[in-house]
Amino acid sequence: MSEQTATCMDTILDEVLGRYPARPSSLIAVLQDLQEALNFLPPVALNRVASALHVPRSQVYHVATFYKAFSLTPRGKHLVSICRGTACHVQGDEKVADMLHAELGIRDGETSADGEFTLQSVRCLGCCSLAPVIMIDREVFGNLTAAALRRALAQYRDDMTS
Amino acid sequence: MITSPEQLAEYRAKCRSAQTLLRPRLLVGMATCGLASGAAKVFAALREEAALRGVDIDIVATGCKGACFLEPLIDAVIPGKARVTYAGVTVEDVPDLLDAVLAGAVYAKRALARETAECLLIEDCAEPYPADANLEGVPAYDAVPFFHGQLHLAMRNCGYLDPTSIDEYIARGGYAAAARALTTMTPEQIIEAIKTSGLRGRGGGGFPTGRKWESCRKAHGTPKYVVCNADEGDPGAYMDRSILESDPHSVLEGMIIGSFAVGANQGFIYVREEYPLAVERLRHAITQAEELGLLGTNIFDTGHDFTLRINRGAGAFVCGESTALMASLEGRVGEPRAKYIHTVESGLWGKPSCLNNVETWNNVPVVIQRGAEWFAGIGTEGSKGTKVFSLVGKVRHVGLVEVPMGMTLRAVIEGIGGGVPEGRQLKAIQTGGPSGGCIPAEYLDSPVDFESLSSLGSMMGSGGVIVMDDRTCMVDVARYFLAFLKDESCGKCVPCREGTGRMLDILTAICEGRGEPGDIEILRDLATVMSEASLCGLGTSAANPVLTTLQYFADEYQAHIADHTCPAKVCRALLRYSILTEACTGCAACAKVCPVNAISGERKSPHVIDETACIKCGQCYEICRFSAIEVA
Amino acid sequence: MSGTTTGEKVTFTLNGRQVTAEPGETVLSVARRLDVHIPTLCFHESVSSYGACRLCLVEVFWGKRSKLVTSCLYIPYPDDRIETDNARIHGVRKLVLELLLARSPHVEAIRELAREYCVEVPRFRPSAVTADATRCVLCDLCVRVCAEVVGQSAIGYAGRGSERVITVPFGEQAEECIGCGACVFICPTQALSYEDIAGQRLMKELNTSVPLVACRVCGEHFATEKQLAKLRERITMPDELVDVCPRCRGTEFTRVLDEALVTKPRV
Repeated sequence: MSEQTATCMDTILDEVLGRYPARPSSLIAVLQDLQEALNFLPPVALNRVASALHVPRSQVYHVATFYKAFSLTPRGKHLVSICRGTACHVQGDEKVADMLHAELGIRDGETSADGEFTLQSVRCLGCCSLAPVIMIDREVFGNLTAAALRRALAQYRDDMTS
Repeated sequence: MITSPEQLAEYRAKCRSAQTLLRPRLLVGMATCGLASGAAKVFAALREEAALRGVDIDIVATGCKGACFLEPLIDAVIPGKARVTYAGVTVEDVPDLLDAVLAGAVYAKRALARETAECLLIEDCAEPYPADANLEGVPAYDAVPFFHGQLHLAMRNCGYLDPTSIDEYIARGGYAAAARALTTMTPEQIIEAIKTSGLRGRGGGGFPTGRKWESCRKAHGTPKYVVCNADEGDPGAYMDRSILESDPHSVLEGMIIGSFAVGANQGFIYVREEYPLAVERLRHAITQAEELGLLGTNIFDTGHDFTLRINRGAGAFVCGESTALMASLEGRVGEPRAKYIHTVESGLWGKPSCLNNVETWNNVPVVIQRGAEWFAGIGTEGSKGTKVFSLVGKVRHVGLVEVPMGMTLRAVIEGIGGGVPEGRQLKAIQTGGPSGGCIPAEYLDSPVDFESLSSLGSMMGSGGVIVMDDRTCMVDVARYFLAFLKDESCGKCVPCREGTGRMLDILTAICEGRGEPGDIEILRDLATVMSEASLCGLGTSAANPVLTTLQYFADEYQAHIADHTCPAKVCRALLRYSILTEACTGCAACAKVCPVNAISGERKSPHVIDETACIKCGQCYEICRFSAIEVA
Repeated sequence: MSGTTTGEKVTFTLNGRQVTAEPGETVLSVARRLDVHIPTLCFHESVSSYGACRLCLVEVFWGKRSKLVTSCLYIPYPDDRIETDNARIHGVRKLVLELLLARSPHVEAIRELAREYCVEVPRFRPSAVTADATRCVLCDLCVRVCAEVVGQSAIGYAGRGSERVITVPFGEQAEECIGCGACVFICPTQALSYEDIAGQRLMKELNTSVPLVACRVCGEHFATEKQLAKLRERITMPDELVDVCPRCRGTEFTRVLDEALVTKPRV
């Protein structure tokens, strides 16, 4: 890690840790904010959090690997979540997964080679009336067809170039 | 600051006069499902158009009325006139809709329904609207099949107010129940009222709410906590999201009343991280309630202090289980523990904790305002009040439906839901999420309440109702749920961690044509050990989807195991795609859509599928306009 | 009201016998005291109960109702009627053992328990999950002993559900580990081990090595540096004896004492 990224990381860590009381119950909230800020949870961050919140590293590591919201490896710029809820299943979530594979060349849990998209399956997004649905970052796309999916992805690809 | 019921009444009068409709108002449904249907674009177009014309009109974002299949929904409220709901509004409709509303008329093209009276359910008041010739041809709400028979208690404000405005909540009678409870009732009287009302937990277990509160009040130890379980995890259920997004204050108000009743000064709301909008709305609502003194110290000058915090879940279904949720609130992994000592005695940090879900808390103000007896008059002997169901899957009218307990499945699915889409057959209804089961079509006349669903081997759960038609394979459904559960098992206890994996192996084998005659017996044995020996509810109920499908759809399992066929034509490994030479026109549409280039042939002559390359995705079947693709 | 909060002795029926539990005492503890056999895997007297292996399930009857509870955690209520073995319990334990045997077919302790319940070969297909059979059954004893007895919390888990594994943070060299080996000794399935080589104690499965200390007298490695440091935190010990192995400690103690008497004669 370069000196610059290390300082940057320290600043983010100080800032995030400053938002919460220094006690074990703040652990999940702190990790959530770090995940959002860094896009993943590097060991150096987890170690800092452990000592700051007085939680054994072994517990921090378990929490970081237990919850789906956390990733120990860098995620793509955009997180594509395929809803695997029951309504989406009966309306064809498998086909959506196939289409995403065709479009992005990645399967569940993988990140595209260009680092733009990470694909993950999530339990119900709670938009069952629009099944099948996906969520890109925080935006929900429903009643997906191959064309609608391409449009949705293009929107995010454009975002990057602009 | 509001420190007495009188001040609340004054404040309310002020809110109402500020709101008193001197000018037209358009409410656009902007909960997550509305947004995903394009409501934001319509909303922006409306505001732009109104600004362009320089007209005096309120355009506000509201929550979800439940008719998700008709989104985007817009309510037009014109002073002195009936409220009219428009459905399926597009950006193109905006100019004409504005024209109509500004002229005090009706935009007939998108008009869905009109209200006959201005109702405030929580106060039992209904002021009929004056007759209006413009409204001829627009059906009353109750005449629209989707709304006929619905009773919106929990959803009382959904789609009627701006969820970011505490003033609008108060204008609709909000926080009056909290004022009444805190200033005129003792904690014991409140608990008695909740007990008399017969309110039971809406999150799945159906435990009597009043009894839970009573145990927590009587438990030794301080401090005490109240917790709202907003970790709505059952796939196919989203009523809690909708309530939080559409009417967050109703949940806060229920928790204020509950905290006073059990003697807690601190509350937590544990929300799924997949619900960012709900978190945002709750944060906003808490700040507003604090500003008015409805949260904080000495609420209504009673000496009662209560503060609320929001915790976001981090993606673990098991955290819907109360002890796992509390572990997560403490910053640990969501691992359940044995509940031989209940959480009402020893919950969060080992202190007495009273946990209810969103819909339960939301019902509390209704019980206080309308009275326990009134509430108990709705529903059945053992299941009182209403329940919000998410009616989804292979049904015409998908959405959130709130009906009195005890309505038949038929009334919900065929009446409100409009039945399965044309040409298909209803096969099963899945209720209760992964802990529930699949009820076959022949039980359509069973009432929907806690007892009836349990007696059918399923359960109420949090209210997901997933309709399945003849193109749904029940073995695949069982496999789907086990895959879900295996993924979500915390891994602490042996029966759940190992059992879900073994069950999934067997179900996958059956779906892939590798089923063996002894598999059913092993599945039943696994079901026994999981239900008898698992540590928490996730494990003890994990076998329900398998047991109910085995019970009601045994022949379908048989077809997979003995004949290696999937009658519903879902299980890919058992399907064979071929092209009927006589029907094929050689249009090549299938060859174009095939993702693996398994289809070949000369243009204008019959094509063939290379079975070794075919991945059985079914895209050729869907695109063929000549019914030339055969699936066997 | 639970037996835990009353702080009184509780009289209940165990396999038809009237027995008494001390305040807060679990059914398992009462049973062990009275020589009633209940199988366990994730239980150990020196750490708190966890209730994960489910082998110690017993049946509690209240009138016509009954329920299976884990005896390592369940504190009896007055008048509970408890059975520690019957057809229902036997059936469930047998299936739990079948699951465990399928996961860890090479562990003698599990094979022996399984044989006790007439399980020889599990009926399941080879599973992707346990294709590489593991000896670890995730009983949590190592985690608890490290946290509660050693006070280091070096070992924990990664992942959840079927992917859950025992590990140290990031699976690499854990500074918290003092190499005391308590985890190795408590493990009921020999899933953990260590080896002393080249002046280091290698905790193999934990991917961690800890420097050893050689006995000042005999020169043999007998403990790790961190272990001794921990020991000094907890007990008072003459400085001269810290780096002496237990075998040499007796003679060394006498020698040190003698020397002290010679060089500094009592006045």
